[in-house]
This record gives sequence, structure tokens and C-alpha cells, in this order.
Amino acid sequence: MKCDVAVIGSGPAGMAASESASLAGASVCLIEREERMGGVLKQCVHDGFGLFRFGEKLTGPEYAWRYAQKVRALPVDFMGSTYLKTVKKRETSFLLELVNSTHGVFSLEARTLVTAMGCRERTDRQIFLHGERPAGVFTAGQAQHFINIRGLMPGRRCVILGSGDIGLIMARRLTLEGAEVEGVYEVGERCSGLPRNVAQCLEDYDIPLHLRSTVRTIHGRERVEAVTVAQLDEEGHPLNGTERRIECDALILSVGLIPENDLLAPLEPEMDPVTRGPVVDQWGQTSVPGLFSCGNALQVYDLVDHVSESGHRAGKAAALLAEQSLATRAPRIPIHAQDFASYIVPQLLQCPSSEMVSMAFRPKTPIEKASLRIVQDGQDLVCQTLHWLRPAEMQNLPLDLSQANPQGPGLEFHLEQVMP
Amino acid sequence: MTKTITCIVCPRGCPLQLSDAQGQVCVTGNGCKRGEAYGKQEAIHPLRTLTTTVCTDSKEWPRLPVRLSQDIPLEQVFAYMKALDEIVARGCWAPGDVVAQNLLDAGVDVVATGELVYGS
Ligand SMILES: Cc1cc2nc3c(=O)[nH]c(=O)nc-3n(C[C@H](O)[C@H](O)[C@H](O)COP(=O)(O)OP(=O)(O)OC[C@H]3O[C@@H](n4cnc5c(N)ncnc54)[C@H](O)[C@@H]3O)c2cc1C
Ligand code: SF4
Repeated sequence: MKCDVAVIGSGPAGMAASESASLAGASVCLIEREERMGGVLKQCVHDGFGLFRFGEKLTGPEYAWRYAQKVRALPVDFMGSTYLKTVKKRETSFLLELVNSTHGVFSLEARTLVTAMGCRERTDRQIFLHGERPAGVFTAGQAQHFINIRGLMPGRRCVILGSGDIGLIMARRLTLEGAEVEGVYEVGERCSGLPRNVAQCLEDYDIPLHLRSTVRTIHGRERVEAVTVAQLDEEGHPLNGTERRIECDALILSVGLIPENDLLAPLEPEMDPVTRGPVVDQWGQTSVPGLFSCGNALQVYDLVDHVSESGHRAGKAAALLAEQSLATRAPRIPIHAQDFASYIVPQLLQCPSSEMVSMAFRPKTPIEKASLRIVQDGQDLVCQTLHWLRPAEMQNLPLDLSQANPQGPGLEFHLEQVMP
Repeated sequence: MTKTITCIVCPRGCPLQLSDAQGQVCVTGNGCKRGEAYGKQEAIHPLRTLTTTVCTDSKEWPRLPVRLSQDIPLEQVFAYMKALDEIVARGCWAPGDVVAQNLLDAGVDVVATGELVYGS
């Protein structure tokens, strides 16, 4: 089988990429390991999606459905229940090895490849916890899948470790479904989820949030019976005498997301150690010509609206490149994050860049007033003042970088604190 | 008396100051108009959007995601959850379909937010 553009993953990123690639005239195959399109949105039954894209507060399933309808109306070849096993790069194409129950193992040759495989959750194996590994320890996403898709309760009395948004959303969801949530424990000094989720998921239901606290030990052999929590000092060491045993039957982890890119390893794209996604230009093209990345596989987004945007950009560029109307070897200059910016995406600028470049970044610490400057060779290309930046909130700004010199040195992305 | 709350209308989550000025609620700190309306409502009677799932008669997809047709009083959330427990959504559904009407006799409908297609 052959196509112009293969898209892996049918979450919001993959659906947007398929739509744009198809509208740009490419033949598109959309590969999804689950039966249905929509990715993780199918289980996010709460609302707050699509405020920017559709101007409405939609739930995850509604947002997914709107995009799925657009994709279904186009000649996109959707292959559900199909798993991507391996990818190989050929001279001018990619060879994908796929597996499903109809065809067994089969191959697909695509001129360009858009990877939109989302992210996976960090598990208890990646954080340090004492004790056994009994049943009853779930990631927040697993708990969400159990309740919202399968209709099963992960526990009756739960402790949540980590204050990411999915954990906060699950605190409310578990409470609504009749479970008791004893509290949310966060190692850091700040909640990592959005303030609105603290308000509507915890405060509305009187669920306490314990900062600088953690779960030390899990008790129970077959099933979780209790956990021991403790407060932490400035250095993150447990404070003597603060240990407390809490009887519970489930521990829910909301300790971070990791972009899913393991399958790309053989292609050796350059990776960003901070985002844990590939290094890309403003179109989402990686260091491997013809390989694009978008959505949570590229960087962990907080808003699905921005995920869709990144998919649209990658899908369109992949279609144009498949037709050879986008020069593969257009000059690209690096962009470096400096000062208070913990990272930026894209890390490369393809020149000339006549369209506005959407730049995503997070500050390292909360900043009340910040100045953002993009500098090339001592010259300011962009200079802006920003207010109320928080690490939990990704900034996504359209910036004019048309004045960048393709022959010049790399761009410096400065984020500095300004005294208000 | 001043009270600070977080606006939940959009992801910006502005801190709103609610103060009482001669019997009128005065809202400051809002980044846009919707925040003012939210702050005023919150001072009088907090309302929330309820989204959840209901039971289906499908073995493959046992839950259908739903929302209520209008915001409900925060203190009645559990009463609505209980009423929603009684519902079984039979057959196929698309977002926007009304699954049940007039919950708790309060004129509130249950609307599907997800798709349920048999044999797909
Ligand atoms: C558990 C969880 C809950 C979340 N809740 C929220 C929320 O409440 N609000 C919010 O704004 N954001 C939430 N997010 C963030 C959310 O993931 C993004 O907003 C958005 O859904 C990401 O879209 P995506 O298309 O990049 O990835 P996904 O939606 O994760 O889609 C990736 C798709 O790729 C498929 N796939 C992966 N590997 C392969 C393979 N090898 N072969 C074939 N198919 C493959 C997967 O099955 C999946 O369908 C949540 C994330 C997670 C993990
Ligand atoms: S006041 Fe406006 S901008 Fe601020 S959180 Fe509320 S809706 Fe959003």
C-alpha cells in the first residue's frame, strides 16, 4: 500500500493533520491502534475544551466528534484497530510496518510521515515509592478510562499523588461517582494544575490539597490497604514526626506526562531533552526530512485547541512536501531559549518565514511582568511585554519573524523578569 | 467584606475580588466581561455545569458521556448524579441527542456528548 501522507494516531493532533493534508490534496492514511478516532479526548468527559477553536465550552467527546465528522467527510483512509510496529526511512519515503486483525502484518509506504501518538503517563515505577506494588495503584488516565469508558470504579477511598490537571479532574470525578478522595498530595511548593481546576475540582468538594507533601509508603500485599504520607522540608526530605497513615484502597498518580516517541528512535531524530519531543521547525518538521511531529508527541500541551493547531500546521506542510513544493533543504536556523524560558517550540526557524510563527514556551517560575525579546545578532526582531506567566500555563504566541536573516546566526529567545 | 475567588469560565483563571458595595456585588480582577457575570452569580448562588456518563445497553461501550442542558446549583450536584444513575441510554447516540428530559422536574434535560454506534 502507498499514500502521500501517513498520520499515526487519531487524537486531536492526528485528526487535524489528516484534515489539513487531505484538504491540501494529498492522499492520506490515518493509522489508529484503538477502534475509534479521538484519542484521549474520548475519556475526558468534563468540559472546557475548544474555547478558542470553536468559541464554546465543549466536552472532550464533543470536540473529538466535531473533528471526526470533518475527517469522515474527506477521502481520508482511516485504519482503526491498527498498530504501528516499526518505521524505516527510505531515500524519498517511509516504510511503515503495521499490524491489524484483518491484514495481519503489512506494510505501507508513505512519502511523508506525521507522528501524533500523544503522550503516556508517568507511572509509580518512574517515581520513588516504598513498599509493595499491590493492585489499586493507577495513573489518573487509567482511572479516567475505567470510570468514563468502562463504567468501573478504581476504588472507594482514594489518595491522589501529584496535582496535575488530570489528577484534579479525577478528584472531582471520583467524588461525583461516590468515592471518597482523602486528599491530593503534591511534592512541589505549587499546584501543577490550573487554578480553575483547584477551584472547581477541589474547593467545590472540600478536598484538601497538601503542598510539599508526598506518599512515602504503600501498604498492602494483594490490594492497597493504606498509604503513609509525610510533609517535606525545603530540600524535599521528609520531616520527622509528620508521617501519617491513611487507610485507602486506591492510590491515583498524576505525576506528569511523557511524549510518546519510542517508535521514532531508529530514525534518530534530534530530540529536545526538556520537552522530550523531537526538535522541530515552525511546521513541525523534525531533523529527519519528511518526518513531522505534532500534538502531545511533540510537547505536552495544556489546551487541546493548540494541539489541533499544531496538527493543522504539520498536516499541511507534510502534504506540500509530499508534492515537493516545500523545499526540504530550506535553510533553518536554531532558536535558543534563555533566561526564564524553560523551553521553546519550535527550536528551529525555516527561512524565509512569511507567515506568523506560533511559539510555545513556559516560564521557569511565576512571573508577574516579563519582557520577551527575540534577538538575532544583537538586533531585536520581537519585543513584547507579557503579564502573569505561570509554569502551569503554556504560552502560545503568534510572532512575526519575517525579518530573520537566513544566513545569520541563531535566534536568542529571551524571557526576562521586569519589576512591575 | 471582600472575598477572592478564582474565575472558572476560561483557562486563564483570573483571581476575582468580590466586594459588597451598598447591597450590590462589585467584581474586580476579571480579565473579561464573562468573569464579571461569573463573579456576580457566584456571590448570589453558585451554578455549575455537570458532565458525566450514563449507563448504556451496549456490552462493548457500557457508558455514554452526557451533559445537562443547563447549569445547576452547586449544592444539587449529588441529587442530579443520583437521578442520572437511573438512566439507561438504549441504542445509538450522537452528540446533541436528548437522552432524558426534565430531570428532578426542574426542566433540565440530559444531552449526549459522545457518539455510540453499534457494531463499530
Ligand atoms: C489521560 C489524559 C487525560 C487528559 N485530560 C485532558 C483534559 O482534561 N483537558 C485537556 O485540555 N487536555 C487533557 N489531556 C491532554 C490531552 O492529551 C491533549 O489535550 C490532547 O488530547 C492530545 O492530543 P494528541 O492528538 O496529541 O494525543 P492523543 O489524544 O493521546 O492521541 C494519540 C493517539 O495515538 C494513538 N497511538 C499511539 N501510538 C500508536 C501506535 N503505535 N499505532 C497506532 N496508534 C497509536 C493512540 O491510540 C491515540 O488515539 C489529557 C491527557 C491524558 C494523557
Ligand atoms: S475573567 Fe474572563 S479571562 Fe479571566 S478567567 Fe474569567 S472568563 Fe477567563
